[in-house]
Amino acid sequence: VASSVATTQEIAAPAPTSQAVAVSSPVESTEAALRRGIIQRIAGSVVLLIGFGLLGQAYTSPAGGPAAYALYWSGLGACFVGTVVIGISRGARPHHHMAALAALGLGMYLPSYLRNPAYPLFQDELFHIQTLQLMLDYGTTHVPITNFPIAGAYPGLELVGLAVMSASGLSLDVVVRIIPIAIHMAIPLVAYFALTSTGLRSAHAFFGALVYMANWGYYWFHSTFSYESLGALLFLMIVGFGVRLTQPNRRAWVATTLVALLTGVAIVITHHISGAITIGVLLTFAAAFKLKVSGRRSPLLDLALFCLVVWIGWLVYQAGTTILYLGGNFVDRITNLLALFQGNSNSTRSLFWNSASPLPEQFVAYLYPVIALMLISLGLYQQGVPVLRSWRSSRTLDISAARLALAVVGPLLWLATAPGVLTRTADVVYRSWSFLFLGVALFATLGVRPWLIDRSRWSTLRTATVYGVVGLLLGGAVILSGNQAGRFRTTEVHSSAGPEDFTEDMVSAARWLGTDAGRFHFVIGDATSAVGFAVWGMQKTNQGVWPIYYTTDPQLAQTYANDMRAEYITVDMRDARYLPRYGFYFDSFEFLDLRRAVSLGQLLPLEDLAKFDQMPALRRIYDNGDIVVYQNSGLTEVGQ
Amino acid sequence: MILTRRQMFADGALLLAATAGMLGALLAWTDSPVRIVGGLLLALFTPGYALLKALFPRGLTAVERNALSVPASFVVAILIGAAVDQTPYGLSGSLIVALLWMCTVSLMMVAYARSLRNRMPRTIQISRLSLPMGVGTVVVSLLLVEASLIWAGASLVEASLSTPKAFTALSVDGARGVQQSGVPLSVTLDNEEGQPMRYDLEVDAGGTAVSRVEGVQLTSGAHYSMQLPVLADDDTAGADVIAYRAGETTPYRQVHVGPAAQS
Repeated sequence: VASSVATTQEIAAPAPTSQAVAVSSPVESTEAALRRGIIQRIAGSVVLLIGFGLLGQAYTSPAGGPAAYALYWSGLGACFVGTVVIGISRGARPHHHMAALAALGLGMYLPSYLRNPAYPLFQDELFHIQTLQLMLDYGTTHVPITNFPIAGAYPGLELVGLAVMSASGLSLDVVVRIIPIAIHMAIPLVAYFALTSTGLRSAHAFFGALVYMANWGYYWFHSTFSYESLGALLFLMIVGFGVRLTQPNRRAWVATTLVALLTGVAIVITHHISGAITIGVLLTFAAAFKLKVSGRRSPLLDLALFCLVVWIGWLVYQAGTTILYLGGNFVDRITNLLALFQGNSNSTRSLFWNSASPLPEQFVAYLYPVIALMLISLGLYQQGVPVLRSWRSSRTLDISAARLALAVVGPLLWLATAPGVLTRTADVVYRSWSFLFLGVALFATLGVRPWLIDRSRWSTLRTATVYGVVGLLLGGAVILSGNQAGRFRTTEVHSSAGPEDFTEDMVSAARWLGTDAGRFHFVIGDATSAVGFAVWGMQKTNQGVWPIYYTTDPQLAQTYANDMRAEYITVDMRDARYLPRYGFYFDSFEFLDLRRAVSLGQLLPLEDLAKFDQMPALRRIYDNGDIVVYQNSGLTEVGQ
Repeated sequence: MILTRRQMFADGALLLAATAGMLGALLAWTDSPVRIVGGLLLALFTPGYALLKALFPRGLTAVERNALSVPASFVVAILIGAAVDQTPYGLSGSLIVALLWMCTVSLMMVAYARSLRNRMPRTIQISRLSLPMGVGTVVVSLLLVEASLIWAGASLVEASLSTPKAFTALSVDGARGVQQSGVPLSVTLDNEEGQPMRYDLEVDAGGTAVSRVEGVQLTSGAHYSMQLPVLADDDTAGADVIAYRAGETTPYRQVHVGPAAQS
C-alpha cells in the first residue's frame, strides 16, 4: 500500500507551468519565456500547415516520381517537426500537446484519403460500407450481407455511422471519411490521456503518445473505416480508465467504473478481438492490483468478468455468423501455415524480403524493430532495477499496479510476439501491436525520461536526438504499414486482384449490374471483383470459384458454373496482365489446386479468360475493356 | 468542478448547436450548414461531453474531458443504436437523433445539478487577453499562419480532385441478353474517357453486319442507346453488337444478345 501511495503522489505531481520554466532559467524573465513559447508554437503551427500542403503537393505530382517521394516525406516530416516544436515549446500546456497530437493525427490521415479521394479502396472498410448501406436501407442490424457477414455481427461502427448520417444529413460517402478522421485524431489524444493516468507528466505523455502513434496499425490501417480502428480507440479509453481503477482513490471509482462498463459493452458490440483483448488487459490489471495491494478490492476484476459475460453473450447472440467466421479464420491460419511448409505461397511482405520500397526506406524499416527494442530495453532497465532492488531488500514491488500490468501487456508481450513478423502470421502480430504499444510507449518514455527532463547545456541536443529517434520509429511504421493499394495514385495498376484494382471501370460495372439486374444475384469473379460487385453492386459473391477460371475447357467451366449456380460471371482482364497482389487471384485456398501457376510467378493464362466467350450458356452482356460481365443462361435453359 | 461564466456560455452554445442539429434532422433540413454542424456535434461530441461532465464533476480536467468526448460519444451512439435496434421501430434515424439529444440534455442537467453542490463563486474571473508580444510580431504571425493555411487548403483541394480511369462501356440494357415478347433489346454505349469520342456501332448476325450506325459523337460522361433489330424466333446464334472507335477496324467493345451459344 505504501509504495502504491508513493506512486500516487508521483502521479499527482503538477505539470510544469510557465512560471516553473522561468524559475529554471534565471536569465530569462517570465514574460520573455512566455513570448518565446508563443512564437515557438506559432512556428510549429506554420510548419504543420506547410506539412499538410506538401502532402497535397505530393499527390498532385506525377505518381511514383522522385518529386512525389520527396514531397511525401517532406510533408510527413514537416507535420512531425511542427508537432514536436509545439509539444516542447516553452510553457507548453496539456491543451497545446493535445492540439499538436490531433493535428499530427490529421496529417497522418491525409495520405490515406488522397490516395483515392473518390471512394475507399481497402476491402476491410468496403465490407463495412456495404453493411452500413444495408442497415440504412433495411432499418435493422440484421441485414443480408453478401460477402463478409461478420461486419454485421459487430455493428458498432455502423451504428456510429448511422447516428452521424441521421444527425447531420451527410451522405454515406462523406460519413465514411469523417468517422475515420475523428478516430485518427482521437487515438493519440486518448493514448495521451491513458499515459497521463499512469503518472506521466504532460510533456512526457506527449512523447509517449508519439511513440504510440508509431505502432504498425495507426498510420494506415486505423485511417480506414474499419471496426478494428474504433475497437482500438475504445480499448485505449477503457485502459485509461482502468489505470485509474488501480489507484487507491476510491472516490472516483464509481464514476470511472461506470464509464468503463459502458465502454466495455460498446467495445464488445464493435469488434470481437478488441473485446477479447480488453478483457485480457483488464484481468491483467486486476491481477497486478491484487499482487500489489493485497487485501483490498478493486472493481477491476468485476469489470473484466462483466465484459467477459457480455462478450460471450454477444458471441452466442450472433452465433450464426460469429462461430463460422472465427472457425474460418482459424482454418485460414492453418492454411497459411500449410502454404508456408509447402513453399507454396509467394505473397509479398514488406519487411525483410520481397520489399518494393526504395533502399533508404528499407533501411528505415529495418531500423524500426531495433529502435523499438532499444527504447523498450531502456524503459525496462530504468523501471526494473529499482523493482529488483526493493524486492531483494524488502520483498516489495516498487512499481505501481498499472505500470506492472502495462509492462506485461506492453514491452514483454511485444518482445514475445515480435519474432512472429517473420512468419505467415505477421499480419496478426502487427495488428496486435495497436494494443501492446500503449505499454511500449509508457516504458519507452520512462526509458528516455532522464533525457527529457535534462536541463544541462546539452539539453537541446539530447531532446532533438530523442525526438529524432521517435521520428525514425514513426517513419519505419509509415513504411511498414503503407497503403495496400500503393502509396500514390498511378495511371496503371501494378498488380491484380488487390485493392488498387478497385478502379472506376470496376465500380461502374458493379453499379451497372446492381441497377440493371437488381440486387442479390449470385455473381462470381476474382478476389477483387467479389468485393467490388458485393459492395457497389449489392450482389451475392463468394470465394472458392477458381475451378471455373483455371481451365481452358468451356464445357467443363460451364458445368462448374452451373453446379455453383452462378447467375453472372465477371472477368477482370487484368488478371492476365499482372500477378496477384496477395499471391492468389481468387481465394487463399487455391494453392491446393495444382493447375494454379501463380506460385511459379506466372500470370493467369489469357486462354483461361478467353474461353468464357465459348461457354455454351454464357452471354456477354457488359464490356468496358478490362471488366467483362457474362450472364449464365444455363441455370434456366438447362433446367437446373 | 466550479462553474464559471465562460464555461456556462460554452456549454450553452454546445446545447444550442445540438438542439439545432436535432431540429434539422427531425425537420429534414437537407444540406443546411446549421444541420451539418449541429448534427456533427450532436453525434460526435455533445453526448460524450455531457456524460463525462455528469460523471466527473472533478477528476477530469477540461482538456481531458474535451479529448475524451469524441470516443465517449461513440460509446453513447453505439449503445443507443443497439437499444433502438431491439425496438419495433428498428434503426430509425429520427429516433436515434432524438435519443442522442435527450441523452445530452439530461446528462447536462445532471452535470449542472452536481456542479451546483460545489460552491459557485459570485465573482467570476475573466482572464484578460494579454500577449507578451509586440503588435508587429502578432501581425506577422497571423499573416504567416493565414498564408500557410490558405496554401495548405488550396494544395489539399487540388489533390482531392481525382483523375478517374478512362473507359468506354458497352452494355445490354436490363442486364438481359435474351429477347422477350414485345420488348425489343437495346444496348447502351457510355463514354467515360474524359474526352469527346466518336464511335461506330455494328450488329453482326452469323458473321454478317445486319445494322450499322456510324459517327456516334459522345461528349465525356454522355451515353447513347441503340435499339436492336428484332431477332427471328428460330434464331439459334443470336447477334454480336460491336463498338469501334471511329476510323478503326479492330473491335473496341463487344456484347452478345439472343441465344447464348456463340461461335
